[in-house]
Amino acid sequence: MKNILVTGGAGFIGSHIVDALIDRGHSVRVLDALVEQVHGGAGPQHLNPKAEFLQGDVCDADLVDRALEGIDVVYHKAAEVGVGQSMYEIGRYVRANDFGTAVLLEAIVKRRPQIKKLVVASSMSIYGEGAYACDKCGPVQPKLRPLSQLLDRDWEINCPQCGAKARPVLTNEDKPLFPSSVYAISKQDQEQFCLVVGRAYDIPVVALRYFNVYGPRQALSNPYTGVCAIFSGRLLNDESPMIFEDGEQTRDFVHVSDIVQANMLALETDKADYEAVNIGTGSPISVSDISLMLAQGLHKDIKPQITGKYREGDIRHCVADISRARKLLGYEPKVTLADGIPELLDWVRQQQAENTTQATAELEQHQLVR
Amino acid sequence: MNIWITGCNGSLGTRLAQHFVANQHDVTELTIDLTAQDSPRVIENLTAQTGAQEVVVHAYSKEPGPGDLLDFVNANVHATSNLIEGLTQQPPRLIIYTSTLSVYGRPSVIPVDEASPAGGTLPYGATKRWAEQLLETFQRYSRIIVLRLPSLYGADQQESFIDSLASIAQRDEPIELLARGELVRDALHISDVLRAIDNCISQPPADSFTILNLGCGKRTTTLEYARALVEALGSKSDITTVDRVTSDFDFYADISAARQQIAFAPMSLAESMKAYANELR
Repeated sequence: MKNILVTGGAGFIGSHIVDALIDRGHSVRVLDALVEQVHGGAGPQHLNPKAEFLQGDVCDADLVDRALEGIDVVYHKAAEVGVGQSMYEIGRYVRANDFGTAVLLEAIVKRRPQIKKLVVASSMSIYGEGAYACDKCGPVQPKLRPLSQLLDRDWEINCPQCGAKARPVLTNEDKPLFPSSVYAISKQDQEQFCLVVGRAYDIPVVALRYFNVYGPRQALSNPYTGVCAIFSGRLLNDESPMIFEDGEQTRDFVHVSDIVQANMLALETDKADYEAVNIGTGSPISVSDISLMLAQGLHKDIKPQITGKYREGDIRHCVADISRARKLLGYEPKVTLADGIPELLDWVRQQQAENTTQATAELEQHQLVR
Repeated sequence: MNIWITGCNGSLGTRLAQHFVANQHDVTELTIDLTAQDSPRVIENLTAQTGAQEVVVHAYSKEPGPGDLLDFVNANVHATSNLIEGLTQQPPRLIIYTSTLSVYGRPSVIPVDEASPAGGTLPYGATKRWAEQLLETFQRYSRIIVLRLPSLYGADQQESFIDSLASIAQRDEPIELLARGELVRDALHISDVLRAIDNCISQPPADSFTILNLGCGKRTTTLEYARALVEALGSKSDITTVDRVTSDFDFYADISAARQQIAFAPMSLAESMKAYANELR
């Protein structure tokens, strides 16, 4: 039995991790600020009653130090989440994700050798565009599409070398990082902080790069994050999901229980120590198809609204190569979309979703949707 | 021209402010605490009163040296995020960020150009790189020029190895150089940086986001720096070299992009040391 601190442990992913840790007999303390945008001003609705709860900000050094009292392992899940909003609430995202992580790491370092492992939540967003292959030039790693291309509504990626259309391939961890939003930059910083400080002080760190996570407890009240939650929220309100570009952009949707699986494996093995590891499924699905699957599951005859607009910093395709996770963690995704979406929708039906029109309007006001 | 400068309490910021004032610019030293949570709102209020600035030179930084991780994150990353958030409502035409060649870390080949991967380790090099990335996201509002600076020397700098050599040479004491004096270093007199910034303002590159290395532009060893400095100062210092190794590594920057895009033309080593010696007299 270990004493484990989970920052952000009242949130969507964190609360599932807390449940799994308690199920395995660990003693868990949660530090969570209960940010109103996520929790809707309510208390910690998903917090396991067997967990000790500390409400507060991970930027509060005194509180973080108290939270580490007697702790062996830290799961760092606290973060401001959301690409679009991060582009105008810049200071808030950087404070929470960069500064908050630095506060936590300093407190961990001061207590060494007390902390035996740190597992940090990273994100596929740090890659920017995923990996591609060009029939003529081979593997290529394009950066974001230029503005002129987006204004022409030419959505697919061009080979950066010969200009021909490139096709998406699975993205592995060695792909250079081109984070293209403040959120993505802050997640990159978080990951690098943890890995570098861990290596410097011999504190084993595992960074798990989550792809598009979905599942029950996803905050429908937060209109700035999670495409499944956003689409479900709109469908619940009998509104069409709004899809940027042409809807054919692909992502890798991974069920939260597989994210939990990876987090438990990271604790149980030392093979992934000091490594960054993709956690996804390796299976692409288009954003349009996800929208249709959600509508079908909710028995709503609502087609997505393809806006033909683009959102600042959005990528075209990114799907995980999970070879490293299989090799180092023994990870294998277990929940397919066919199984996972009905479970998500059971959750969605119990929720009151916020109207996401305001969030889109905010993006347009800041010229982030064009 | 209306120019805001952040980091005016630092050595570079101080010189920049003096230089711009001397050149008849309308200079505002932005001395608010950029790490404070309310600083974006303070900046918004300031720009609401003054209107958009034409140029912002962001020189606020935590320089390499002692300090914990939080200090670097706060000064280099958090302050930059607050600055650009505060400028969103009334963005300037141009933001010039004084970054560092330390973002490259220890490169596998020299001279290092801007396409080389950033390998700067925490805390200084990495946090400066992250600030560059944050500014890159702001290019839809303002043109951004990132200047990656080498070690700077000049009166009131006191931070570079050249300044340390100068203080020994002024006392006519012996100068001992490690690694047989063969270590390749990149350093610039601060007046070269001021001229580069002038050029960025008067003839900025066409792209909305540009990263440019600044440096002396030549493979220059510590022995060459020391000899030129001793000669310029008329010092009686003896220069000796020893085999003892140092943790420093050979480094200098490829400055061809800056030469091409902002007509950057650093002084020769002899000219540069002469300018420095004149300042010290």
